[in-house]
Amino acid sequence: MVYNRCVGTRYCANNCPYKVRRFNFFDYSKQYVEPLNLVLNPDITTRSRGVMEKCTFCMQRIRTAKDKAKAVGKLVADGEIKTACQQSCPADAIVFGNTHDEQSMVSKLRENPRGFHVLEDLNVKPQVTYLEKVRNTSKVG
Amino acid sequence: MDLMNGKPDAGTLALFESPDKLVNAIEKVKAIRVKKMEAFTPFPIHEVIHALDIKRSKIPWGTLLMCLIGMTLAFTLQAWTNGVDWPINVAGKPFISIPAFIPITFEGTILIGGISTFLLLLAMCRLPNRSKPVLDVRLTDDLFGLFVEKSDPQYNVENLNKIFKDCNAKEIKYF
Amino acid sequence: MQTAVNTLMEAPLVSPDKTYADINKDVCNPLESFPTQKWWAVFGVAFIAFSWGAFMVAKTIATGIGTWGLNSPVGWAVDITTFVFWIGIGHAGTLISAILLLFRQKWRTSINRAAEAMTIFAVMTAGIFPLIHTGRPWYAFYWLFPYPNQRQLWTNFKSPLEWDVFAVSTYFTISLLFWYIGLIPDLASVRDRAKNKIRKLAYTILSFGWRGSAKNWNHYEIVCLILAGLSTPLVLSVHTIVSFDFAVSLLPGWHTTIFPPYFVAGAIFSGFAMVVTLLVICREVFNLKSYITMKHLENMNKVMLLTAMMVGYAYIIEFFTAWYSGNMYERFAFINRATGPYWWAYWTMMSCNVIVPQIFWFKKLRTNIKVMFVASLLINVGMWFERFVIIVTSLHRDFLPSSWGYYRMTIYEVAMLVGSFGFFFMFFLIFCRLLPTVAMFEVKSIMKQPK
Repeated sequence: MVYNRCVGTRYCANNCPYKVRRFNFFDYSKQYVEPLNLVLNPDITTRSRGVMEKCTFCMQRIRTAKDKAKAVGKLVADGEIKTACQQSCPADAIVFGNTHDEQSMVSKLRENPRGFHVLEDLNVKPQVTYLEKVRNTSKVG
Repeated sequence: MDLMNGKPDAGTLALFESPDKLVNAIEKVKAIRVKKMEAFTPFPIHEVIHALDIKRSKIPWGTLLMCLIGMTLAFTLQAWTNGVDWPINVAGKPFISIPAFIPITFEGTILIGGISTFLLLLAMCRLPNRSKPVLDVRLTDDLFGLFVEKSDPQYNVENLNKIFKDCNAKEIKYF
Repeated sequence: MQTAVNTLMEAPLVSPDKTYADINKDVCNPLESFPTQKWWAVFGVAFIAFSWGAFMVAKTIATGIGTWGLNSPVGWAVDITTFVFWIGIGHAGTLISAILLLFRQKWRTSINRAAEAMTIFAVMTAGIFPLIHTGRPWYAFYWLFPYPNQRQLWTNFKSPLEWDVFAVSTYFTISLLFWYIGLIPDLASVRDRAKNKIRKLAYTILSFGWRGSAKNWNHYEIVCLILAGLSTPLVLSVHTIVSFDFAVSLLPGWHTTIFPPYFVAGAIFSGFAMVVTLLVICREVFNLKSYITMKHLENMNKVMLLTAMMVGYAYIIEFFTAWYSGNMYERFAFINRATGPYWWAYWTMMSCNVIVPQIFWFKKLRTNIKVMFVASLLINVGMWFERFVIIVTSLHRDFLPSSWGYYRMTIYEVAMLVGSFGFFFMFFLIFCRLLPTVAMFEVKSIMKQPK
């Protein structure tokens, strides 16, 4: 999602089957009057009015980690990038990583038979895999 | 502007009330081997164009050429910008996707072809006409005119007058 | 034998008592007299409607799209409905000018000028919406064109919205050229009738100094045929591309291959309805009944009936296809249209588009001015609702029930819709006063020669 280039046609949101895209209908950042402006994350563009946004898996953290790794000539290690939701989740319910890396935690969890994708038959290949809760425990073991 | 105040070329203008009379007059004037003549009508008449031995217009060839150029330009624009200059991965779609490029390619064909046809029309008709004045205001209303230029070697006022009177000309004007 | 042949002949396309000179006189009369009080009254209404719309749109651009009733999931509603509505209306003008020319239908000659003018103004009106529906129109108006820039950015040519940009721009340009070329000989007629020096100068410039020489007519006729030949696939492609905005997506109710022909048929349908609305008024006010005869109106009503049947067929086959597909999302989308929260819009659409045009099976009703005028208005209402139903019902309830919502129009959107009509009518009214509403030279060419 490139906020700077977005002209706000809302076509992407119309096409999103999950409806996770949100539009800035008004200038919501106006309410962050001094000193509330300190609430805003300095690492990411504050979306202006008329721009679409959605979860970017904390693009700013990904970029920082990639830049740091590139500077020393290494690859980003698994678990090095923690999205904000993952970091704050008390139940440790969220795992983020590189799905191209077969050894990463997230790839292994993706292969888990409990894993499913929402609206899988639409073939939009979402990046979020949910692990189903096993309920029929009386039958297991 | 010359068009409004200028002097027309020297010659004789005969005005007729129907296309048939005009065609008749053209045939008779052709028979005395006059070459430099022009017909003016309020609407296009095939018999008149045919009688004057005017060939089919070459404009369609120009249109064809420009349509092909338009098609190539539109496709190349898309293929180069999206495929070569800065390819951006949009949901894994191929960078140069012919089906996706067809709508704009088609529009480019029509746009360039259409605009060129308009410009070709202006060029072939020598429009905008800034120098040749209107010979009679009724030529865009309900009269059909035949103008014979004085510079034609067979130009003879008496002969022409006789022909025009035989063809029931409504009026004859001299320039 | 001669009498028998005469009785089988159709009604004349031009009143038999009219001469060539009459045409110029009758058609140029409104141009050469000052506007009547009636004209000022109607123009005043159109201007007020436009001003209200413009003011509300300005407020929207200043504060945000939030002034409209849009939300998640309904990202498009009145804005795009009205866009498709106006583009659709434009198509009838091109059809009358271009396609009927290629089919050598003489009856097009007295209606094509006004119809093409309608196209130009409808496309202009439509063109406002892709711009103002965006969240950042101050960027949208130039970022959607592929111009070379310092950031080396280009547009996404694979997006249907980008195809729209090119399609609508091309359509406007070519329609304008075609209309203007058609006007040149008539502008010459108006010029030659002009007594006032400034008027004469103005029309001299506009007519490019056209004199009507046979050599020029030769090129001219071919060019009209060429442009007709180019415009025909253009009109079919433009509305097809507009339909691709929906057909190319994955939403149930949008993602269907029937959209291109269905949209084109619907466009012709609503366009003809608007032409009938405009011409019924024009021929009355400007006294053009000898040229825009009942035969012309009847022919247009027949076209409306034909396209109504095509659109009605599309409605029914969509339902069938949704059921036959077995796809639960698709099935739900269509049942929801008829019985869900927007049932009122759906049934308005059905009655206006499928039921109302059925009256045109009956000659008595086809040839009744009051009936056809009311029918044409209702048809356009129905066609606006058709696009509303397609857009809003498919958006408001799609795949995941957690995303479902309801959309309600706000006064800003009503103003925008009303303003668009004001905009359109302002231009059309000015056209009626400055340019000949009937293609004089074309009508002359289909008249019987004087003896």
